Amino acid sequence: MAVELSNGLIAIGAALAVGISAYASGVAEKEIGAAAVGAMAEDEKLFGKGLILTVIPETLVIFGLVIAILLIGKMV
Amino acid sequence: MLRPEKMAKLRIICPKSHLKRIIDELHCSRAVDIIEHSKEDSLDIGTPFSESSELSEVTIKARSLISQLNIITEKKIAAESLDKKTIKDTIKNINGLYEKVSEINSCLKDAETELKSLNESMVRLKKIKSLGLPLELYREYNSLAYFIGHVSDIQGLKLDIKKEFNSNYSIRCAQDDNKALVSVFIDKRKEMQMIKLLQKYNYSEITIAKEHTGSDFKIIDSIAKDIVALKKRISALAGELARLKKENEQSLPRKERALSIMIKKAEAPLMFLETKNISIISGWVPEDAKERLEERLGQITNESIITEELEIKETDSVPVKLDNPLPVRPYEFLLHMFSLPSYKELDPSLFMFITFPLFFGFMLGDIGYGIVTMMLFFFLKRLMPEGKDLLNIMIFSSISSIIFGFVFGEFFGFEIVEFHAIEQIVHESHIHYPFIHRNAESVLDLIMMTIGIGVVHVNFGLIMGYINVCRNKGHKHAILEKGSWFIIQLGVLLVGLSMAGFSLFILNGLRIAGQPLQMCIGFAVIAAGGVMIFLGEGVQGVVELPSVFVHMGSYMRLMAIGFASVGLAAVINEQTGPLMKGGTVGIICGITIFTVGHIINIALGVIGPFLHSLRLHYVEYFTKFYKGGGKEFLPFGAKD
Repeated sequence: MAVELSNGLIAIGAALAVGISAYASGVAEKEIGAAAVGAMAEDEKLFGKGLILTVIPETLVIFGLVIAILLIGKMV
Repeated sequence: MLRPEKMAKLRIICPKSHLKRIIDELHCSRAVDIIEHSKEDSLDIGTPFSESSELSEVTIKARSLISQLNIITEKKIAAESLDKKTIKDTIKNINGLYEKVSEINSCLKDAETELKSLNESMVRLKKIKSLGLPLELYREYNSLAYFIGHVSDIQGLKLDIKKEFNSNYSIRCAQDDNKALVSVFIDKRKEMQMIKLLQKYNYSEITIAKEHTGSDFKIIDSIAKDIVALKKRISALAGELARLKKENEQSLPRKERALSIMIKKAEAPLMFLETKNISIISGWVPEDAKERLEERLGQITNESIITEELEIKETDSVPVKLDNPLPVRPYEFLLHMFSLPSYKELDPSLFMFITFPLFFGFMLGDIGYGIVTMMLFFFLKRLMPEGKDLLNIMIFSSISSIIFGFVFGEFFGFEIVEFHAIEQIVHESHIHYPFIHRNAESVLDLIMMTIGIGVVHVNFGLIMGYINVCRNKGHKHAILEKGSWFIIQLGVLLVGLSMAGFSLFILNGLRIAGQPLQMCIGFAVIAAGGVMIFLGEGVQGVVELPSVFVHMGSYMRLMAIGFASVGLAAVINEQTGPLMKGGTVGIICGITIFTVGHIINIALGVIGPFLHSLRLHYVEYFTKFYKGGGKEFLPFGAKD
């Protein structure tokens, strides 16, 4: 029983790690993406720069995912 | 290859008598990116050739004809070759055709307007006829006034009229669509009274044209005849336009193209400087093409021109012409999408040619997916030749996917080792297969591997940054700006090893104030690196200190995205497996889930790895060395 509980907690922890970091990335990218599309509408050449700025916060969710994978590895 | 093509700044001084020939040669050779001069104190800008205004006029007419005749032009169309004699004929032809088409169009417009008005008259007369009175009764009287038109409520009107005018009137009505049609004859003295009453019933008048007379409405037949004749005329005019379109559909766009080029040449002197007798042309020429150009210009002008190479100043914005071997060229597209390298920077296309597919394949490593996407992109390439560069990049990436599929041993999410034949081969040959196994046990190994890739790639970027800074500002700056990052990495490595319990053998066991000496040295090295960055890049550099390590960690996405793709594929396969054993319905469901699922996974698997691979280059790699902002080399005549 004790083992199952710890597994459950690890699973919740992993889910939170991915979920919250994905949400945070989403919130950050929402604002940047809107501004980037606005800039691109003015000048199409800004696509590259817009893309870079938009994807910068994406690293958050990657790190979240890595933590989740590491956590799941700890399941008994 | 690693740098944009070398450019020379050339100045050509020529007598005005040779200017036309020189412009033709410049246009034909497509080797000179002309620098536009502005007016100077001592020299004025050139004046366009005299024929330019006539050419402009004819070109506008040609364009107007293309639009009037609804000719659809392709983007790339060969210009008709025009010489002195044919150009005169062409101008005459276009002028003649323009007049003809304009006349036909104006006749057509008149005829259409007339047809419209005849149709309206016809409708009106038919309405009047339905009231049952001869047309001639509707005319000017001395003692009578009449009204004819639509009203909203006929019964109400009849009652009101009866109440107000007793019996001194005559009224007729008919139903016309949803409205009531009415004609009223009344004593002229009571005209105003009648108007007021009719207004109450939203009266709208039908006017009768003066020329429409006669008792038996024969006029309707005559109008019908006119309409038929007009329609015939309109179709004849439209036919004539269609004939002219067919005749000129091919030649007109080509002539327009030729004329545009001639205008460009005729107006080229606006970019030059001139005195009374000579013209001065300045421009950028690729170093390789310079000699040939000088030779050609000398030949066509009997050596009566002077060309000199000018020194390139710091403030000059030198145009950039990338110079890469054929397989690498598609990757220049990714630079165009970002920003071209400036003239003095390294061109990373060659390295992207290697690393882009590598990263893509690492993320989407699956033999099946690779084959499907490769076929898809080959098909798309045939369908859309204009997207050739991007599709070539994707085809290279798909090939890399297939190769990595063999490394990971995956085929549509199945592990190929599980296939009997391959299992036997692997068993007999005693090799460790798959070479890299993407499953839960190997997560840590993969994390270390991807961070390792990140360290190599980011440091490679830093080395390129060192070279760039070194070329622009010298060794001292390069060491402070870029070398400092290597020193900080070394410090972090020393501290990290010490924390993990490893120490270099010389420093083994040595301690300062209870702390391992290696760790202290590590921190000192980091501090030294920090100071160097501060000196090299200022506060901004210090603030960005952790970013280089975050960037290295960011390469973990290579593993994470791969896992997401493998996970989804495995789920689809697991769902399909049991269904396939459940009879016909099960098999149909199974195949549907398998197909739809894998199509979705492939779509995600193309978009995700493409964007992430691109991002790893743009964000993690480029920020170490790339400034961009280069101006593309656009030689005179390149767009024609």
